[in-house]
Amino acid sequence: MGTRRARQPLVELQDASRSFGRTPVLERVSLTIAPGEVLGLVGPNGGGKSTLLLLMAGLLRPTAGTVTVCGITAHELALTSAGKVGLVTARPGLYPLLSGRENLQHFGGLFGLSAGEVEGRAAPLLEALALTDGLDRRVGQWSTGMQQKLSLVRALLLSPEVLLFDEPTANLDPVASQVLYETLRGRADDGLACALVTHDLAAAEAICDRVLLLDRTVRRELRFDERRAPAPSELLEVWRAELGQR
Amino acid sequence: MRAVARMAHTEVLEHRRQPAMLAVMAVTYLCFFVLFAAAFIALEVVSGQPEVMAQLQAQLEAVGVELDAWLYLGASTFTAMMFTNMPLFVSLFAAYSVLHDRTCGTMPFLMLSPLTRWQLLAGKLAGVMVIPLVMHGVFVGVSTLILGRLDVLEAHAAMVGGSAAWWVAFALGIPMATVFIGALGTVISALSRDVRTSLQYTQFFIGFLSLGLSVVVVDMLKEGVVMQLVFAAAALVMGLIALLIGARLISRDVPPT
Repeated sequence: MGTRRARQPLVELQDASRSFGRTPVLERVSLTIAPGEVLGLVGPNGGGKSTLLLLMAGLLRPTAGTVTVCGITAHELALTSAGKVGLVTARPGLYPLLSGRENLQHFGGLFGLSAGEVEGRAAPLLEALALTDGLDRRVGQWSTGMQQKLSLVRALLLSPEVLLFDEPTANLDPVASQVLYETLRGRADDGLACALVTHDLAAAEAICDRVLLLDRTVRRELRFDERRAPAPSELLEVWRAELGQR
Repeated sequence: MRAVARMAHTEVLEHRRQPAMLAVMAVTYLCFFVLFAAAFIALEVVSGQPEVMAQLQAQLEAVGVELDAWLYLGASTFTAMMFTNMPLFVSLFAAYSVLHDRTCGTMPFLMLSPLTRWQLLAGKLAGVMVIPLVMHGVFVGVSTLILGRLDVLEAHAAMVGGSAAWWVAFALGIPMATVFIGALGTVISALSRDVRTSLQYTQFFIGFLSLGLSVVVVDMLKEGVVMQLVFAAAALVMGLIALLIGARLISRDVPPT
């Protein structure tokens, strides 16, 4: 449990706005995320959280303002496809008719990784997330939790510097959610800049260094100088004791 | 090229894992073959019986059509129908190709990769063409070799595998026409936001085009090999142009769902 680190931010938004047609979704949002920091984004549905994350990923361009990631415009970074940004979305985004291994090889292959390189990079991640069994089964037959873990492995395959999570625990059981949150926190402690969009306020408080309340623009910012340890859940402990990581 | 090959490989893998779809394609070819083969083989059998043949010719002449004209129509229709299947299948697969990535949620991850829009479209097109191309080769090739041996079709052999122009049309003309039609389908798929829109546009623009181009290819069989080569080259160029324009039209932006 470390404290926030005062380092040069990897993600920086200055007065970033985004509209779809005439409908403004985000207005003049400014924020930074430093290495080792987890920034939480909470707010009502339609408040612009996912749009903000897509701006950071470079998958959307701001209609006004700037979004900089790793020193260059986020959209340009996405075009250079350096693999510096890892993304996990609410939907796992995998090909259901392909096995887990084939999915990883497809996305790794697009970055020029050979099958052997993908295997080598994925092995420790798959081991840590208990995904080694059933990797050759079609992903469509997997549970949502397993799919989401595989999506996380894909995001980490290229050793990104920025990790973006968009409601990754929607539809997940509490243990799978916990595994994802712990991985996110662990990666941040290793020096990655992370953003987490979530409706799980307790998790946001437990994991994030700062949390922004977002409703089209930043309404409030809460800082947690010493991150609070999550309150132990008796139910979660019983679940884990009885069922393990399932 | 590796990115294009990777996209194509994944597309083929997904197609291979849909056995019902593959069965429907094969049965479609078999239905056309059985229908025409039954008619031609029946004529082949009765052609050895002069009395029956005379009776048949008399009946046809009574309605103002000669048997030879019927045979020409039958042979050319058979080839046109068999040729139409490949572009039709490819257009339907292409119409869902890029859209599939939107519905699966894989599109943001493709856009985060080094894949360019041109590579995305070209890879999808190559992928959707592989299985229909194999089916075209096997079913059209074999059925034509069988029917082309019938004595009753000897006068119209050029329409059923008995000419160099036919083989050029089979090996190049129809596959290249399919490249053009498939490219249009892939671009429509990339521009569409939902399956219904994509299929409606596909049916409107491509359904007629598949049949139309196949009929043109068959009609040009009598023009010889050179014209078939010209047609194939023109179709390929148009397909590449469609992909290039499409790659400029589609946006890299991935809106939130």
